[in-house]
Amino acid sequence: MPRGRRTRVRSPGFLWTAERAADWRLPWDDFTTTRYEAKAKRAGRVPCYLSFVADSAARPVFNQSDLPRPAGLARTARTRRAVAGDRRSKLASVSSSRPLLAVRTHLDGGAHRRPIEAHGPAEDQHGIWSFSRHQAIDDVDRHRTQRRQRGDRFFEAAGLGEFDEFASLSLPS
Amino acid sequence: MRVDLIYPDPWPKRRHWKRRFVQDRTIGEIARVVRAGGELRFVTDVADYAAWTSNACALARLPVDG
Repeated sequence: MPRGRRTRVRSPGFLWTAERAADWRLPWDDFTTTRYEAKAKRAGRVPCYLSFVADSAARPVFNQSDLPRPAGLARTARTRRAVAGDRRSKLASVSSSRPLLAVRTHLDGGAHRRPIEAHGPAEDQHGIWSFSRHQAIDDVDRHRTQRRQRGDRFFEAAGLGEFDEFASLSLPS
Repeated sequence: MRVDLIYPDPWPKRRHWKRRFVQDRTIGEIARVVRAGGELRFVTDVADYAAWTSNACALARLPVDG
């Protein structure tokens, strides 16, 4: 395991060890290539080797609620209860004979969110979804644009420079 | 202890991303079992999945000395 730079990652349990392009462009020493990889290379796809090391300082994540949440979704149970309580008191002042269960707080949970967040498949993945939430259509081929932008974001996430610099990087032989 | 994830199913369509192996939950479970000093190594040829994994496993790109 190489010593050196560690990049903090979304999962508190792991750190990314890449320092330069070769760290993820080239396989590790004991890597055994596969037939799938040979096929991918023939097709012109570039393999990517990501290596993470378990962080001794971080507490491993056991459930979804431990993960960091975006600010827009940071409504805790306490605030939800506060909102519900506020509504309940208003409702009670209007008509005390109406059953309190009529308060539909779950509607409020979706109304203030943007659609992509309200209808996402899994709440724990909204960080990923936000990755490609705002995509400008600047090419005729929309799918090609999205693929290119995702690739660019990966290189930005790598923190190792611009895409053009990457494309021109020569690998150590 | 080390976990190698070599060319997992890429599930390239967005509506199928939830089927990918790399999820917060699985990464969390792996982090639990490998303990400190353990490794997770990931290989893919799909740039999209690489971005997915570096996000699932890159919230911020802060260099940490260690």
